[in-house]
Amino acid sequence: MTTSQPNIFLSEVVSGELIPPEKLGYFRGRLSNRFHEIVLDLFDELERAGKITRAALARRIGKAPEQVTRWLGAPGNWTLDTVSDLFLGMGYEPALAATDLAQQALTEIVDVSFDELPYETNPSIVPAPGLVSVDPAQSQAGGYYLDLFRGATLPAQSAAMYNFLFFESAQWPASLNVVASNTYFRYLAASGALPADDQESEEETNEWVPFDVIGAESLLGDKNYLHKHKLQGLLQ
Amino acid sequence: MDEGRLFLLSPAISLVVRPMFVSQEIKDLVLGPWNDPEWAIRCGLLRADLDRFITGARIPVAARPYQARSAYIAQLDQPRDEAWEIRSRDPEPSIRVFGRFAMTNWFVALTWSKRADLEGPDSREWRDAIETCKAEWRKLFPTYDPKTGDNVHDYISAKYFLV
Repeated sequence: MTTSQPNIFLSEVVSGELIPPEKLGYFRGRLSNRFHEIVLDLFDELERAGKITRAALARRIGKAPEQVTRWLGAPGNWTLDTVSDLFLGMGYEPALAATDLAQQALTEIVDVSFDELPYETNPSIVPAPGLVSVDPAQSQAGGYYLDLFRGATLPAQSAAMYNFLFFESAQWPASLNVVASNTYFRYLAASGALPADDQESEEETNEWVPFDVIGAESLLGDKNYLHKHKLQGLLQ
Repeated sequence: MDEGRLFLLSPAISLVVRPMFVSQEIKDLVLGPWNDPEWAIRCGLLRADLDRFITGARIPVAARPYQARSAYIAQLDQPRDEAWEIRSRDPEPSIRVFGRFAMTNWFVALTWSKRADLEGPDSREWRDAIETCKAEWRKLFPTYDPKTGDNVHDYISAKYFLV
């Protein structure tokens, strides 16, 4: 099942209103950074495979190695010609496509089945959960926000697969709340990241307590649970 | 966070991979409001730069303090200060965001300066910037030391590029 929530940051962009200057600036920086990231990712991949070096890339495009090092460090003075030269020097050209931000403005939350999770093939992406903080007022309503990333990185695509929901809190502007589904906790349990007594079983189903974060109820329904024992452990 | 002195910065687009907490000072810089449209554009660009860290993009890291001026993030000298800068260079004015790692992949952005105000690496302004960063950390985390490490991997676990 896929559900969506609006991305507040893109509201003026997709509504046809005047786009505020900070958002013009954001997307200028984002485009430059994305080109840089693609070049870096490609260079890193080819370098690891022994297919290119900084010196070789510099030689191929007629630049000094120091210049290439600077370009790989930051996209500051890149032009489209720079982008073309760097890709070509590695034997590539970038694939370009336009993205409809009106579609992007709806963040897809993909609910995948337990069996689809790739925990067996890539156990290194398992993050260890922990608790960042509990707001007493919200805890009355079961509101907890969790640190799901302590000690590990989690690719964005995987985060979407594990049915995380990210949203900005009206109560705490600019803060981020994270909600994880029971899919995620089952995933953690199956991958050994949770103690055995935190793992879900038929008998323990009623031990899972629902949790939600401000404004998330309607989006999440009854899908989100946190094991009571685990919660107690986190609160200690 | 509950006291409103530290904020978890949400990426404008995409998801959090490396959490970044910011002080009120950085929050105001990144999220405004701003009186000057040109400064608003500049701060929008800064937010895009900070999102590189948050969304887990590959980031260029200086292998040694004050080296690799083109790197995105660098540890400042002396390493024992555990002070780092994120560099948002373009367009002018170039901005430096100072902070410390709370743990691997967790960055706490505390203070900022325009690069032009900092003079050279040995300047009093740089030293003051580092000391201010450390002082702000102690205000927020009086009993919690920043992450220490011997190499970049101790601070950023994946997707970095040494320059």
